[in-house]
Amino acid sequence: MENLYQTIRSRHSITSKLVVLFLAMSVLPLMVVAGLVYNQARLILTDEVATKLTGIRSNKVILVERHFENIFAKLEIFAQSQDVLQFFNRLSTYQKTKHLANEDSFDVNDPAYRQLYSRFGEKINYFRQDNGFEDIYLIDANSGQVLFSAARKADFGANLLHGPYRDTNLARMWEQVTETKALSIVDFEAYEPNEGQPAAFAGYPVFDEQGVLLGVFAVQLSTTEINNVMQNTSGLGETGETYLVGPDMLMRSNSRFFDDSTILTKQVDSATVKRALTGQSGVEPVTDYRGIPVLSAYEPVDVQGLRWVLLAEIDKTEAYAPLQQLLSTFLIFLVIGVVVVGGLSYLISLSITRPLKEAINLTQEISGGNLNVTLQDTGRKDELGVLYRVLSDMIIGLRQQIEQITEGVNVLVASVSQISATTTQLTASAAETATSISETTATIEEVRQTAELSTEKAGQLSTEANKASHSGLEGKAAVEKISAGMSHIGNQMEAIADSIIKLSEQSQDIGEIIATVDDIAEQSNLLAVNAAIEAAKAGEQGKGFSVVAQEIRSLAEQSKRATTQVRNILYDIQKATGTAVMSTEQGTKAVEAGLVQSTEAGQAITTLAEKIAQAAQTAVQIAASSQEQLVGVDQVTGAMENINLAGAQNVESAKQLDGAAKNLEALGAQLKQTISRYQL
Amino acid sequence: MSVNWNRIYQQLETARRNQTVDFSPDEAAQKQQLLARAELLARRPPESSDSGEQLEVLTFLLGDETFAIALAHIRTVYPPTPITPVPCTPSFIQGIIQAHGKLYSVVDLKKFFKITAHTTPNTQTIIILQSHATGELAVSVDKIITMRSIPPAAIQPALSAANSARTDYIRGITNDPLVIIDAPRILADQRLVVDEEVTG
Repeated sequence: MENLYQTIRSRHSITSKLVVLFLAMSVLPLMVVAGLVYNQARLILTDEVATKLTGIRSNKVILVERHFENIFAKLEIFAQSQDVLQFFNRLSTYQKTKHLANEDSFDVNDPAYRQLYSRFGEKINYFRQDNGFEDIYLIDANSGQVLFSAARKADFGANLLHGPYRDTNLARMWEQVTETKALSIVDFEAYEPNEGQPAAFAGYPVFDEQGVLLGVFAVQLSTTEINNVMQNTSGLGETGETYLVGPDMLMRSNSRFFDDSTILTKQVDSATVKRALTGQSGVEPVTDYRGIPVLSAYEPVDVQGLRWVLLAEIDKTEAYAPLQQLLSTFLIFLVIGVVVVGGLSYLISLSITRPLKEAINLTQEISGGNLNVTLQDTGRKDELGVLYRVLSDMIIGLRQQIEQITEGVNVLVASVSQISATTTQLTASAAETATSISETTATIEEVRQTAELSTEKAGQLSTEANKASHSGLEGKAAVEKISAGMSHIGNQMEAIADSIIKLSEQSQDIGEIIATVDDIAEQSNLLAVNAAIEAAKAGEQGKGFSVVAQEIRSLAEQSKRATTQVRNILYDIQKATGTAVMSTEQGTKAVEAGLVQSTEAGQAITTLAEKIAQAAQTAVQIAASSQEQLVGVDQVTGAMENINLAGAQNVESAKQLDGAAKNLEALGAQLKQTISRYQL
Repeated sequence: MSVNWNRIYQQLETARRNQTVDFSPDEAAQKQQLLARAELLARRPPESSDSGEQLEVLTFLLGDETFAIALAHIRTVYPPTPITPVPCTPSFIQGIIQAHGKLYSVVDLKKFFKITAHTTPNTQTIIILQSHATGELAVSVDKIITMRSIPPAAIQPALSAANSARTDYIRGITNDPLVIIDAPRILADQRLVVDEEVTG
């Protein structure tokens, strides 16, 4: 037979369910907690990193602003120095004398200029070197001619108003200063004289003693200083950096991740930059210019209209490294937990499923009809233990029931065969009944004739009964006479008894007389003895007397013997008398009994006479009844026909019964077969 | 059942006649009987072959045994009389009686001889013994049998091995066996001298 236990699919089994349940119960809370912890840690970490980034950013902003303020302060001081004023005055003089004011380019090769240059240029160069400026310019306010350049690049002597560099940021700066007559700065731009490299300029107006604008004192700003500030990555770890971005979203400081300069070459269009350009500041996670997710702290930097953005950023991977470590630790624990819980739950489920498997196999055996199985008591106290015991009881109960059913079926089969036999007999009996009925019908005819005869005989009986009644009266009279006779006999018997008693008394008298005689004989005897003694004493003379004495003694002896005989006879008489008295007594009693019986006989005869009279009456009634009987017999004949019909029906019914018995027999056999499936 | 009354009446008649005959014998018959007796008495007793002195004894029963006492030592035989018991006497002394105007102490011979009897008759006959030397004494016996004459040759001495209570008072035994009691010795017995005081 197929083992049902093995048909259970593993995913439906209690074992797998329990294991899954246990795992879910243990792992889910763990995961939830882990998630919460992770989230919290992430928040805390984010907060911490943001705080750190914000700190660094703010610090850097201050540094940048201070740097520029420093530059501006130096620029202001130097621009207002006498040296610059003097140099400007001389240059203006030189310009006017040579009529160079409207020229596109300023002649710097003239010996007079060289003299000027060598006289003032040295001092300005010192200033340049001391403060790390790229270049220093002196630009004429009216003509826009570059009167002096410390670096002597292509723009030296160029006219910023009409010349080739009129569109450069240097020209714009000159324009702003001459217009505003105040400090001005222009952002980095690719600057052709500077071999196309980015260059930024700051300029300060130079006035003469009368307050007339002479020109602009300008410096080309160095990127080195800002880079130094920005590339100080202390506190930023492996991937942290700070950099500056201009409003054109191009970098204003170098990236730590590129060897080449990134100023104005790397575009940064992240969300934080855009936000910072609108004046906001904050910390947000974004994707940076390298396409790497970072946490970005942003803040706008405003220096004299120079709207820059300072960004302090760190890679998310680094920022969240502790989180990753937490996660991997948790995963290790999770795996260990899953293994342990899985193993334990599997063991627990085994302790449940193993007995269940046994119970299933057992019940399957039972359902297959094998009751000859036993369940070992596991001694367990839990529900499975109870299940075992209940199963055990069930097996015993089933066994008993099957035995009882088997017995019942055997009885049924036996009974059915008996019924079958009985119905056969019934069929035969019904046939016999039919025969008997026809015989009965014939008999009824005879009864009819008998009834007629009865009527006749009843009449005769009535006559005879009347005669008998008369005889009864005569009998009664005779019995009365007998009673009288019996009374007489009784009286006679009493007389006899009295006579006998008298006789007895007289014989007692005789006895007394005899006793006296006996006594006398005894005394005679003694007297004889004494006489003999006296005779003996007398000697020879007394011898004859002795003989006489002896004779007397002998007579006395004879007398004694006679009295003994008389006494015996008297004893016999006494006995006979007793018997006679007893007989008489019995006779008297017999007579009394006879008297009673004769009285009873008289009564009996009277009763008999009465009964006979009743019998006579009854005989008349019998005659009438016989007449009715005749009518009855006719009805019986009619009834017999009905019985005949019923008999035929009986035969039919018996046949049907026989069929039913056969069906029962088949049912019994079927039951027997069903039960035989069970092995006890 | 029919009774032959005629036969009964005949029998009764015969009985009545018999009674009248027996109780009044006629004179001739009486005379004849008396004559016959006289004739019988007149005959001498046959001489015994042993003409020597014969011992006349009275035989009597004590229990189942037959004893005898010589007539010479018997004064008289007395019919059964009520015996008056006397206290402070040996058990074989039955008591005392009055006879011939004298008082006699009565010795129960059965107890005296220590005979254990199976039956004891209702009445005992008293024999009054006498001796010239010692006087008179009454003894009680069960029943008097008869008188006999015993030739002295037939008497054998009693065996001393027998009942010692008897041997002292027995004269001899015949073959019958008949124990002949030596009456003078009983009369001379010191035990019969009653000398007891009632104390207390």
